[in-house]
Amino acid sequence: MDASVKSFKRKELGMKIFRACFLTVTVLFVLFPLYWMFITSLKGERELFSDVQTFFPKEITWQYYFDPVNGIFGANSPFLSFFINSMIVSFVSMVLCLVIGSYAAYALARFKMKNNRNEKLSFLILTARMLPPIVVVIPMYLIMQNIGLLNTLWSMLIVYIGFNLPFVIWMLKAFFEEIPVELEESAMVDGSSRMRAYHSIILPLVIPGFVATSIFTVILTWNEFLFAMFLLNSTDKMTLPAGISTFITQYQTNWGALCAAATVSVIPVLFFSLLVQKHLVKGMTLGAVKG
Amino acid sequence: MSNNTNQAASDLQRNELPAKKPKKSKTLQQSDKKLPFLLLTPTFILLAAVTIFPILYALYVSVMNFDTFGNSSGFAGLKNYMDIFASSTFWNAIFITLLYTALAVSIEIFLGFNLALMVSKDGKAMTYLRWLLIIPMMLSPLVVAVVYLLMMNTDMGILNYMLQSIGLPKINFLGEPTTAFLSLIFVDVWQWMPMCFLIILAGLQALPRDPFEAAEIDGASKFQVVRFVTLPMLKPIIVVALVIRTMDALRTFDQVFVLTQGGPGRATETISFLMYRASMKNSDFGFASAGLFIVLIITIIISTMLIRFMNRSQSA
Repeated sequence: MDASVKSFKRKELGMKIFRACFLTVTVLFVLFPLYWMFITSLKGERELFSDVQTFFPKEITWQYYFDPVNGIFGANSPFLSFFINSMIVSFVSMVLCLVIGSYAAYALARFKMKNNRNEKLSFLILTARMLPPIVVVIPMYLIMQNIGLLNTLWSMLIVYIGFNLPFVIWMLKAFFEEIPVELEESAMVDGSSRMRAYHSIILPLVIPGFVATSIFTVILTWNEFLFAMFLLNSTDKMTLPAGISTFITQYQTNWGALCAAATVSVIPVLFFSLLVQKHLVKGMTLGAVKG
Repeated sequence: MSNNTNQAASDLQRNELPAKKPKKSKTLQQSDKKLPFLLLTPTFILLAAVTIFPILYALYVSVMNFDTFGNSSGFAGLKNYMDIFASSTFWNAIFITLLYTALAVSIEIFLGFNLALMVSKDGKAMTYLRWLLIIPMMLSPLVVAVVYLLMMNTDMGILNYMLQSIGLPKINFLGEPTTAFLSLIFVDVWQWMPMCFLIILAGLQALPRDPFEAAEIDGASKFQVVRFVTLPMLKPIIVVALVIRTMDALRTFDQVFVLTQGGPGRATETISFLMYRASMKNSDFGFASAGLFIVLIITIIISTMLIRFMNRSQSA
């Protein structure tokens, strides 16, 4: 009896140690590339190419960030314009997407249409998201060329609004569906119109949902590379991912500057993603799984 | 005459009924019929502009001849489609994409499921791990690829340095067909295993406790509990993760662009990258547009299958 309890306890302890090791390895595995990116941006040229790799830089240098000639914030570097372009495109497309998408989401979440048409329409919208972007981007390139919008932020706005709409609609729909219908009904019985009930009663209640959705939309746009790479070809118009990709050259990649640029581009995303942790699973699964 | 009586009757009714409510609810219903379509119109216009319109345009381009400057030069008929069907590069890219998707997604789901099982009972580990694992999947795949390009460098990369320091030979991560393909999958797993983990963890937490207690009382082993209780109950959630990841993995582009450019040879050329090369590098827009339709058809087939599978697993 005593021995069996002891062996049971030992087994438990072994299990605990195994789990602790496994989790530690997982955490290191996940964080190491980010750490390495940051560390590389702080290393001097000699240390970077030396035979002995250092896991912590012997000499920290911020030259890749702030040097007036070589740094990414220096006068010669296009990095700041990548950053500003990304900000403009992400925020403007997010706002427009949310305005257009919120009405569509409300219509799909609340109105009873004939023959289950709500679900069919929602599904139709979802198919737009399943479309591989490459299928659209090649004709889009030709169309933008023909109408003279190639290499402008306008083309980016059109594409991102259209492509993020399905996501926005499905997310907001899930948030609308969480709010009891009785709230609007009582407002409508009291004589307010449907749209007034929406604006004055429902909208304030889904503000947390709007915030989460808008953050996701900004992150999606911020990270998007394929469309930006096809539709933008001059350095002053590029968004961050497209711009950063031009830092990679076959023979002389400036790793310090590349890592500095990558680090700065990642900071807003890290900050924003912590804000939406709670809604993450919902966001990833378009509201199919409540997290 | 009958009209009049009707009128009178309805007047009477209106006067007798206490409120204006019936009339009002009628207008409400009428507006209810038009309003949703009004609200949905901008969405459908925009969606058509970025999906249907380009696809129709691609259809037009696919039956045209294009010269090397990207100008159209006359009607080509089905020539581009014939070229696609005869093109071994195209079918190679389809094969690479499917193999990549199958391998990457199954590894991600397997690891994500096991990790979720491991932490689901430990509240503290769960919160920290969740907080950390959010990071990879929020990053731009392009940035992730850039970091791995640095780490997988043969001469100065940290991965080879670590291998050598424990006495193993160097690996040419991106320079040989098989290792390059596996390296891409490794990067994909790094970035997206956390997502599978989070989705499955959310599902695990939502499961009812009773079946587990019943299984424990009946003396089921841990493995039996997972195999016969957890897995069947979790199937719908796992399928959701599977569908989402598959749709994403089929369009892999950024990592290929940064890490291998489809090489060495064509060992890592996914369909998205091939289409990029055909259109932007070779200006063969006719060929690329014809290819798009085949990609579109394959995507439709795969997604219909996945959605059927998803609906069945959810209703079962």
